[in-house]
Amino acid sequence: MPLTVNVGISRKASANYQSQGLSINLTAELDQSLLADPPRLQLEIDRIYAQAEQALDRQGQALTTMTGMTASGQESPHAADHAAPNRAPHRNGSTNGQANGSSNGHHSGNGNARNGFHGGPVRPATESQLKALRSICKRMHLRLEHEVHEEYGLESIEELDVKQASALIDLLKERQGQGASQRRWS
Amino acid sequence: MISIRKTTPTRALASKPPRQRSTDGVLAGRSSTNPSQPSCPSSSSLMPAYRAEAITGRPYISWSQVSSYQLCPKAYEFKYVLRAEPAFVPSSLVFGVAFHDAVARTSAADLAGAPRPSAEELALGVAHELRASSVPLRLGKGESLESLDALASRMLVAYLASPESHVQGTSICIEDVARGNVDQSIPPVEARVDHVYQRQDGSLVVRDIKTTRSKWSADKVSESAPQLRLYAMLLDRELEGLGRVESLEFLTVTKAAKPVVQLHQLPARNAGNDGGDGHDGLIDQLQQVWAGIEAGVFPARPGWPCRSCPFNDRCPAAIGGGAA
Repeated sequence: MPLTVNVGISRKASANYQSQGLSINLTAELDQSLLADPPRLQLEIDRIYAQAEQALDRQGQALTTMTGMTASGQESPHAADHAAPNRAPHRNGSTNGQANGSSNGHHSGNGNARNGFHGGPVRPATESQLKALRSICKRMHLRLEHEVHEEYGLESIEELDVKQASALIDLLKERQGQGASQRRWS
Repeated sequence: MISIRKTTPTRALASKPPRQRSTDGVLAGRSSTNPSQPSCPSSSSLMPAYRAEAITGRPYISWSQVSSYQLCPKAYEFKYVLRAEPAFVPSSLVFGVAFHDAVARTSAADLAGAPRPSAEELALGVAHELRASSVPLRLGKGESLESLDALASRMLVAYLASPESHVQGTSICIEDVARGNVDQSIPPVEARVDHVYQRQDGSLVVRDIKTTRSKWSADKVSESAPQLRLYAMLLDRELEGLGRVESLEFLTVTKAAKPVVQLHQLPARNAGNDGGDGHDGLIDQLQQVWAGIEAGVFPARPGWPCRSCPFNDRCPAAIGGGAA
């Protein structure tokens, strides 16, 4: 019996208090032997998600062109501040056979509202990046969870991807530098 | 077969996305456990990951394993298959690991925009590691713990003073573990990566730190390149979407009275002369080693490595002090 993987992504597009949805469901039959190789199975699921997201990106861009609507998968606290669309798709995933339940694949990595639709799937932040972020926040007396939420609208630091983490490190270091500069002049 | 069902646009509105962190264990810190270990296999046709776990207790192979097998399959068997207790641990190994930790602390401080630890502070860490080993430490000729402390101090001063200790980019991984598949016929490969950083142009650089007896020649750099090319292969997959590994670097620090810090750079892919995959026939090499391990082929390869082999007291083929 083949291993069937179903992934689904939906996004919301809104403008002028009206909204439309974009959704895609991909069903793929994979070699059942992948069950014996969990990392590879995850990789395959990631690839299917990447394909689905790419397709949704294209549809989203077409919709934006036609209607001026921008797509979003979640409400961002900064939605009003950013002209570019936020992409944080709602993912549904399931795998039959011995591996079932929702997908634990990677998020798209483009939750950064400032980056819009560009770029492919990106891995979660590395341990080194998370350690650095914790260290910077400790030094600056900031709450990392708050900064992550403020910048990216994410609920948890675990949701940060490697690109976002890198950008946040730069941002906080820059802010730290500015703070130090202001203290010198005051 | 892939079938696509698409509905667009629809009125189906998205709820808050249940985004989760990856659980496949790639790119975790060295101290963390990897959750990707497969459970007990039920099929008679065991997959490479299961085979590896059945043979070595680890569902992967690493560059250390590969080079250990290539150096002496018998020593590999003692260490990874029989999991024998080593009679001693060479001081060079403990020293190297401790030096790596010191360098990683420096890189982590740079990434966090914090002041670097001083050479004295870092040297204290090395001294602690040299004395913390639970397995007896085998010192080299003319070595003492005090001489190693002094050596660590000199090397760290040289490292901290060298411009090469500052990477020209943003650090992404420092002492992280990457694990992934490079070929279906071999188990997943695990890489312990010293340093990965991203340049301003978006390309990635993999850097490996080596403590060496003498300066590296161009031949030595080429000889060591496959390790980093393998890491580049893995990282290209694991960091897909962030950038591609374009450069490899060996940063060598000599264990000398006047330590020399050198940076050796090479491209991530070897253009043209390797059969087309750009990776020096790495997959072939891994396949051959794995085939030997899987088939239980562990001949002794007596030679100069016997002197520092921690299993030579029970190896019948060992030169100079083998088992009776």
